[in-house]
Amino acid sequence: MDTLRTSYPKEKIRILFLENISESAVKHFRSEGYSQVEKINKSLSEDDLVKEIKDVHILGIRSKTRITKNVLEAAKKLQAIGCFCAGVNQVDLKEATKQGVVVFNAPYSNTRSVAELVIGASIMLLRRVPDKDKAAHNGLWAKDSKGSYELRGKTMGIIGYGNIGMQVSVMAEVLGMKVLFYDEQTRLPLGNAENAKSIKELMANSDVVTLHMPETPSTKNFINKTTLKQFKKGCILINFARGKLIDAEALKEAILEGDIGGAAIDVFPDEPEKKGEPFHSVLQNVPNVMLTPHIGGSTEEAQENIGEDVSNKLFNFLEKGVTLGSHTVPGLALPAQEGSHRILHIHNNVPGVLSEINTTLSQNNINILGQYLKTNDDIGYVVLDVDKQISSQAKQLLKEVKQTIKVRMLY
Amino acid sequence: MEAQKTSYPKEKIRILFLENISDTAVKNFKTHEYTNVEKITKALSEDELAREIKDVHILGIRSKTQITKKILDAAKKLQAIGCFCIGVNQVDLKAATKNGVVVFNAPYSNTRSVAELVIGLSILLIRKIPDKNKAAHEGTWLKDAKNSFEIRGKTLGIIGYGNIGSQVSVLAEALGMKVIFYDVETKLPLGNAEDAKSLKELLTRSDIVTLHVPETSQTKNLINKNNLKYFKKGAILINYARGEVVDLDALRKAIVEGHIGGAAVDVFPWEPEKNGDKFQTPLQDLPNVILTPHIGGSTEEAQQNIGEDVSTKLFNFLEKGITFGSHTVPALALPPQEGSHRILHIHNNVPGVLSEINTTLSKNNINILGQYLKTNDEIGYVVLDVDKQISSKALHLLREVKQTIKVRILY
Repeated sequence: MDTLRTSYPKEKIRILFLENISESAVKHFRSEGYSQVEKINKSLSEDDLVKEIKDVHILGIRSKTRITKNVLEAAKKLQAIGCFCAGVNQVDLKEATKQGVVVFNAPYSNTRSVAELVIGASIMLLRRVPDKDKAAHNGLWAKDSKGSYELRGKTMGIIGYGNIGMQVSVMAEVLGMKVLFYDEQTRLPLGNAENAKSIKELMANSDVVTLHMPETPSTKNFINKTTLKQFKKGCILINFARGKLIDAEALKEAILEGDIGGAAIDVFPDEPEKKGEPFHSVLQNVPNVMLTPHIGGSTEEAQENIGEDVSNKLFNFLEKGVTLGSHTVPGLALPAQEGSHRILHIHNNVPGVLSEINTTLSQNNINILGQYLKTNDDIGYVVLDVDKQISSQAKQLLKEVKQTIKVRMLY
Repeated sequence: MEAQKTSYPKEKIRILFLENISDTAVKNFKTHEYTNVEKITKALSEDELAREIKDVHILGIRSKTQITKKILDAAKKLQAIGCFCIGVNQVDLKAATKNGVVVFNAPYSNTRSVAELVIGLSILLIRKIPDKNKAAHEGTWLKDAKNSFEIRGKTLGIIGYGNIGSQVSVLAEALGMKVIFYDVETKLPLGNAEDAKSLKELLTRSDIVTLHVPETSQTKNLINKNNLKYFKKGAILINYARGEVVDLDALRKAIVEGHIGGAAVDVFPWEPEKNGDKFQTPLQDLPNVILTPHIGGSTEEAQQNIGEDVSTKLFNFLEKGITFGSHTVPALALPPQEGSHRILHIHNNVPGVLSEINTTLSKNNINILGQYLKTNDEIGYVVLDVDKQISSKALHLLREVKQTIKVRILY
């Protein structure tokens, strides 16, 4: 059987990890037989990376490495980029798509971390604990039940019912809250959550409002002087989403006037680059306000999840051709191959490519045991399972197909 | 039917509320047609109260009015004391028992408030939010995932599995925690909670330890230098029970040395009298420590629950003779009376009283439709349902029974 091996040997696959990606990910790769793993503790500049990336097959980064057109054009052998973080904004996705480079990330890994903190912050703020805690540390006994409420039976208003919003919804209901949500898209209400007809309806009926929407031109300063008037008096506002969603000056004023009862804010329009740097916000020292340094998703568990999720996606792609979760090459979930070899073919999405593939293979009497295709606007991804004896001939033929970007064979 | 009224008329029942008991309780009584309600906003001294209480049938207090033997001996008409708070330590229960005065309180009213806060604190402390929040308010960006954890999958150790402990157990499991508990008595484990074999086992297995024990000679310094060593490194300690239960100097040392990862403390060996007073503890300014001024149960909901719970108990006693929840007169839950009058008889618990009652009634051809008895070490409480036509004769006969403390008739 060994003579039939046609895949690129695991030990020759060059893997480069930047930005101090967790040791467990490195170990994971080595234990799977990928021995050529290089780890660099910092991020590299565009020029440095252009030099380093030439022979790299798999690149692992976190949020600070910019993957530009220049970098991608120099990356002749690059198959996939694993972004060991929640987002993929740091990668030029259009260019990566053109080059047929798969881009993975770990979008769900920190969902639970954020949701837990939203619940914890809600309990604390409804009870006005931040001020009482501060006073106690400063030597003052601020015992009072006035304006302190339980969470049970209150209404949680969730704006943006995506991964995090839904997770918050489930946890809030479990603790006895009523859940109202609003989303631009029609979403399945989980449990007993109710879909609010409008944001205005949500604001007018919620005791706690939590934001879980993306930053877009239409959501910028979405919480402002005007919308703050639509909240229930004393309502708690939580923003663990994006810094630009809130006009912080207007929020400060609403809290000082007592219209808003308190807030937990984790994201800011202007955030320091790294730990220990000075930070300024107009919400500093405002009563019943919790400020945190964009750590909504920062837990050991989330880091661990990210490592596992991205590693598994890379293994599945390397060994099975699975691209589910890719932001560039179309996402294909594939059945396991049995008694066959698998050829991955990435091509420009113009009419006739699939027909050319099938014609050239049938002309050469190559029987296709399985074929899977998915395309997006720019490229197509076709996966072919063929007989082991003739797979190498098939691969050669596929390389000749016009519009071919990349061909790779798995055994 | 009106002619048969034999109960003391509601409007003649004198009710005195001290210590600014919530207006909802006062209103509640008035809507139940008890019009003779007097409300005083402060507590009264022993002498003042001994004068005021002479004609009072129902007294409502909170935690600051001391009900002494002298007051109880002056309270010739007193039927019941409603303590509109959690405890009954302020009442001389022995003297109240001897005088046949029922004492009610509201033991469950703030259970949920405490349990919610324990959950919220757990989420914040295991994430090291207090320090990050403080730094952000003071202008430093402490973004870091290190040593920040989710509560999902962590073990919560509950010491004392009573009303509050078991409530915490349910909430913690609902959020995906594993729960183990330790109690000196055998308790029913709720949900999937597990009974730890020993305190040591609980301490060594828990990521978060929360105390819900009473203050007794055995629980004094329950958490001390010797057993803080058994805690998992980095474990969180929460004390919302009693101030004497934790040796605060030992806790301080364990936190400073990094063995304990953080703490939330609401109760202290010495606490200021009132809101705004000065306060000192060795835990001030320690990292990842939340200090609160004994507000574990201080919510608007708890106040409301207390008002409703104690009022309802007083109504049930006044109108049906139910003493369920009483700390003095034996607790009887009674079926409703139908077509009969009900006589309540409180007597010293010496042999022969019930026999004397039954003998004297049968000699006088008074048929007993229903009879309920419960006794404690000091007194007995017997409730008799008798025919309406002969109830006033029966009342008279019962007054003559030796060892009688109090007799009252309900229609």
